[in-house]
Amino acid sequence: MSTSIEQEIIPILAKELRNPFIHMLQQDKSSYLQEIRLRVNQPTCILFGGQEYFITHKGKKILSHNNSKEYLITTTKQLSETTEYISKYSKYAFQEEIRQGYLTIQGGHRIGLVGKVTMVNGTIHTLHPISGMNIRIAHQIQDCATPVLPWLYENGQVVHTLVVGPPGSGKTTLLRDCIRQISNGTEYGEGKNVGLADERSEVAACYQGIPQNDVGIRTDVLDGCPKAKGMLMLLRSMNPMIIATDEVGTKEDMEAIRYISSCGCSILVSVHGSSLEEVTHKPVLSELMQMKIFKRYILLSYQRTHISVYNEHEEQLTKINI
Amino acid sequence: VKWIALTVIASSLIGLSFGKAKKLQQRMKDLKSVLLMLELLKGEIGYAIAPMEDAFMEIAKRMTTPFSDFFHALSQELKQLSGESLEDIWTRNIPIFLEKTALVESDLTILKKLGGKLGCLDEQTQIRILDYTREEVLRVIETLNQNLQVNIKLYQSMGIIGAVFIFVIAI
Repeated sequence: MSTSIEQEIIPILAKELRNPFIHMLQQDKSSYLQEIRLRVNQPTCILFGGQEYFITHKGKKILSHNNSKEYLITTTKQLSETTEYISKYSKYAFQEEIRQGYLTIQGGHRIGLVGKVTMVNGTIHTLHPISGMNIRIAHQIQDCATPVLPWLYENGQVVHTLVVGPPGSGKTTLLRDCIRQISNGTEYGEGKNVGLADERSEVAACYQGIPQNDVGIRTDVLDGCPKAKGMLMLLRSMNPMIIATDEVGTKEDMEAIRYISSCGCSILVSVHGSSLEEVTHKPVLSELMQMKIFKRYILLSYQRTHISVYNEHEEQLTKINI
Repeated sequence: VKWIALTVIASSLIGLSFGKAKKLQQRMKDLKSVLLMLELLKGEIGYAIAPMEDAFMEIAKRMTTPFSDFFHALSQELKQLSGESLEDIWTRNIPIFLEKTALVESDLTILKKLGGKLGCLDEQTQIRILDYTREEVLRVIETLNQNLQVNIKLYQSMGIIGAVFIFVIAI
């Protein structure tokens, strides 16, 4: 069993859930574990090497379409206990994260939460009781950005770049590795100061302010701050050469990008989309595209089979098979 | 021999009564430490919004033994995520560390009750619980304070009078 899973994931599970997982991970390579899904009164489910399985009391993996009755059923008590450990016995300290429906734990693993939402004055006040959670195991794929790096530089400088891809295509993973390599320095350009506005802690996966993922030696992370505000704060306070953020989409984000692009600072951002055409139709983003602010578009395919690189005229420069 | 025996008995009586008086003073001191602990915990939760293990570690640094040892042990145990609830960890450690203090059973019960209410869903509720516990401790201090000087003098006087009485009987 890998040390990170042993030290970071097993202890946050309810006591009764620990042994089945320990046994399961002793039998199989824990690096294949991608997700653990706990739902009240439902089978304990995992995503392992891209395949969904149910777990038995003895820690055996059973394909989810199998009709076995040995499934380990997650109980309310186990979910409540797991919530206690995730929040380090201090739910009040993670109130904001619980309200937003996710939190990041040591190691950069992200936990999505669902349950009964209580609204006060039109805003989410709390999520209680929690009826399900999805523990997503952090996997950094270092050097996955290497094939696209030559296209991000012009005369040693990073150009404004937009990473486009559908959910699950690896946008954040690619963005993270681009940031890491640009920050550390590559054969195409020396190391640069990168400011990262990581609103949802998905890129750097900060835990108590410390990045759990490697985002490079010259990267300053503003964690948990709204993207638009964060990007402008970084511009004013940290004098970055590149400002990066994940999943832009609001009008405020676009205004911040437009402002930053005129300040001599490069932009490296990602957005949801399955094609450039789809992105062009996004109301706020289309304006930036028409202004040809982005010099490169990195388009990821849904099946993670290839990456296409386009220029500001939306002409394909290369197609990289991965 | 007779006079030596009388002196020993009289000294023991005086020692016992002065010890009892000192324990009263020490209980007051320990109750004030509990108040300080509650204030520090309120600060850590209300202002620093620190999780319990960090809050306990900070409190351990600012308090004296055995309170500092109590919070240090709690912090270490919480870090381990052993599968035990916060209430169980808290309650189990009270007799280990706080029975060394002059706090009486009713004082320790207030503290044990607090353990079951730590780690609430929201910060405001947590603060209110700490405030409620603080009021309970303040009431105990107030009651103790009303009679403290009288009781101290009473214990000391009883010891001295008892000793004198023994000598008078012997004469």
